[in-house]
Amino acid sequence: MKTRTAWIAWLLPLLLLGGCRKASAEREVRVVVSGPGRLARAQAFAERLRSYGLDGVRVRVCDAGGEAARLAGCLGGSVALYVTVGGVETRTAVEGGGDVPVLYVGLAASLDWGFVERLSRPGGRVTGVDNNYAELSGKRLQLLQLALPEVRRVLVLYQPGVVPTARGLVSVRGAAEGLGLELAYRPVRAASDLVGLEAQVVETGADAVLLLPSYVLENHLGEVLARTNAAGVPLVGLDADQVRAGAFLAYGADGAAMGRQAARMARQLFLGYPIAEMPVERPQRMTLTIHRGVARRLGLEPDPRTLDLADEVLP
Amino acid sequence: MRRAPWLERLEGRFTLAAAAAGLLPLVLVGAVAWYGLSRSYLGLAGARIESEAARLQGSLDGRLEAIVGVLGEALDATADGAWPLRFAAARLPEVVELQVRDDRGVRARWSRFEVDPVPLPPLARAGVPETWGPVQRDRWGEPQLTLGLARPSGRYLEARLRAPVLWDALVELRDPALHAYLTDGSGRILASSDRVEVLRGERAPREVRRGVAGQVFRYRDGRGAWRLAVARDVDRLGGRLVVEAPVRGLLAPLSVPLWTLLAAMLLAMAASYVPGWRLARSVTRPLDELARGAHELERGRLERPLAESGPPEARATVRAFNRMAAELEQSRLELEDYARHLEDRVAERTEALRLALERALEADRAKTRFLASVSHELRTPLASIKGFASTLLAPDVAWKPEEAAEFLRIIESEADRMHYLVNDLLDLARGERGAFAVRPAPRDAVRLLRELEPRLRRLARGRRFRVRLPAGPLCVRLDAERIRSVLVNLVENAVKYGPVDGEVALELDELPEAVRFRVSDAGPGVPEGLEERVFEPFFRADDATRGSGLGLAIARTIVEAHGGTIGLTREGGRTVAWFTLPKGGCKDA
Repeated sequence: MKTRTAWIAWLLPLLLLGGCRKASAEREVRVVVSGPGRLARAQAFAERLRSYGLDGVRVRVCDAGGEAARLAGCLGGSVALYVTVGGVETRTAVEGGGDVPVLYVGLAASLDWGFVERLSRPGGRVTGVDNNYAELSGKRLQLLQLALPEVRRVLVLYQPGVVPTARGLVSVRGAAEGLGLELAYRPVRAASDLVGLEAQVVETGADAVLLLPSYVLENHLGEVLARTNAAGVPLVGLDADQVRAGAFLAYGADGAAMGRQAARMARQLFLGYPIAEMPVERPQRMTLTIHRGVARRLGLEPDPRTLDLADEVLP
Repeated sequence: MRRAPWLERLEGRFTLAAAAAGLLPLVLVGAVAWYGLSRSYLGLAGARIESEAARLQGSLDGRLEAIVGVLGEALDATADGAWPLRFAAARLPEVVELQVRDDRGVRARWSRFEVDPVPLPPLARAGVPETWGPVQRDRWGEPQLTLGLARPSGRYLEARLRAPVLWDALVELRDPALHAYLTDGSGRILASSDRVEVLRGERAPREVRRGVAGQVFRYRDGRGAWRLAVARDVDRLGGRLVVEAPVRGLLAPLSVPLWTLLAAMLLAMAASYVPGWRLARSVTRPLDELARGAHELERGRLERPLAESGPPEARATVRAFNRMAAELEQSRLELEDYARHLEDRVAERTEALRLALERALEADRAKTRFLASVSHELRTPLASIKGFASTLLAPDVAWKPEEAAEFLRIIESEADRMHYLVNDLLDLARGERGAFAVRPAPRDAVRLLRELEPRLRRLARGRRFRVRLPAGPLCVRLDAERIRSVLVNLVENAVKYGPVDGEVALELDELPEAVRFRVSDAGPGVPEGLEERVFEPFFRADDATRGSGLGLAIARTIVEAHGGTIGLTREGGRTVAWFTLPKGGCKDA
């Protein structure tokens, strides 16, 4: 009897020590996506974060299907980190996500949104990768002109009411002046506003259509493309994914690369780095992508030097 | 310093257990093995870090060389406008901005982000083909390298390069446990696998900035953790390339064998401790029991025997202790009992002593009385003898013969009296020392009394004298002369102390084992409580009564010499003097 008691007295602490290893509580990372146009970066983020094998971290992607009103449904529950893939998603998470930290992947005009105090030190519970797209709008116009020197007039599609639009308009207006281009503008608040786009292209004599950052435009890219193709003008998009979808040219960060970059930041957050002191990053690199097939279909002949300049040329 | 008993016990047991299990050597071997293994492993890790640093430095130098080469080609080709700059930027993702100028001003510019960038400040100088300028930071906090190239033709190129992108382009650490970064000349981190420290402009630790280039060294980081590092100089940038890793991380692969070893040691300890503990306990338990027992004995009592356990020697010790304790307990109980009864015994002895003293005093008084009585009894006849003798011898008196004869008879009578008295004294003395001689012979007591009756009747002097004797004979072994004297003495006392008109009775009874002689009278007898004392020599209940006081004492001596008893009682208002003699021995009677 005494022998058994002694053994139990020894084995019990060992079992307790083994069993007391703290089971890590599950921490959910919820990726909030407004629609399919931004899904690629969300998936890249999720894949990279999962590859880190962080203990107890689970990634869940919530797609609002292109309807911003449904974004609020992606919030709530026990969430350790919201990851957003654009401005509207970030705003939704910041306003409705309580105290949960927010990490954005590809947000334009971070300072204008007011999500961060400084890029080098955000100071709140929001940080991420700023894609610099608002400022790059003018650069896209320049690259369009290099690729198609005959372009003289460009129709700019923008979404009123979103923060980066103002900075984007300033950027394209300044670029157009320097490049000697004429601009026409078409506000798009909803997909229905795209009706009549072809007529406006004809009416304004636009040689190309330029997208400004907008979740409405990105999530209804197919309709935009259908109408620009119908109008016979090339579309200048934001990133390579849009070129692959049918745009003629795009200059921007690779969405998947930004997703991976944000995953690295998320890992640092989970390792204990305070989000208030984690600087906003800019994308690793910008890529120029040109779709020769689209140009060919539209009867355009891009400058071959621009094709050499491009990081990727789709046939 | 005195240590707590429980600590001493614990130490003793643990030491015994550890010694029994051989755990201490196991721990020492484990520690030495771990030390040697970790040292060797860190040595290998240091070599790996050194190799990685050398490889990275080669890549960095190669990349910087390529940048200089590509930008140099662009500079040389700027006659074709801005396109060479655009191509160069396309080939070099770290490029932020490029410009070519000559003595007449900026000839071409290209920016990765802006359409019409602000001209870069001149950096390239004539005669210096390659100039690396100070590190600048953009509004994002990103460090940017500045480079100036100069051609003898007077054409210059200035470039701004994103340091993190430069770094990302070339740094692919083969070992994910390692951490590498690049510093400028001031030690501020330009690029690293951790973008945070770059964007926040953190500085490398002092040890890294001052460490000998190319050698493995160890230092404590800001959190106090040891890190292993190698720093190599990057001459082009005037900074350092550092590859380092936390020692704990480097030793992580050893953690599994370490924990396995620890677990094995723990299990070994657990497995060995139980038998060791039991062994130690088997020795210490009897000692504890002995200590407890000794403590209880010290307090005065051991309520139950100690339990025997452990090895035979310990059991024998406990057994011996129990025996000793039992004997002590018995002794203690006896002492307690002795102490408890000591007072009684003292009281008893005191009483006995007091009685003995009283007896001694009484004996002394008796002796004094006896001497006084003897003196008195002897002096009286002596005085009479002396008086009549002196009277007869008086010279001036001529006594008649009949008067002289009377005087001589008186003198003879007093001499006889003295003679009887001395004989009685001698008999009494013999009786007291057990030397009183009687010569018993079988006699018929009835016949003896019938023969003695006339003499006794004369002694009654006219009082009624009644005799009651059994019809048949009663055979008794007796000295007839001595018994006659006893009966005479008893009858004389009855006559002497009884009333004049009273009756004196002589009776003989047969008892189962003896015969009883009874002489009674109607006198008052002796006072109550003095029935025994009347048999003492010279005792007189009444001093007025004449007599030597030796008769009853001698009677008792005679009776007891026959094996009988004598006594004096009151029965029905009469005083009865009686004595018994054992029956038997009369076959011839």
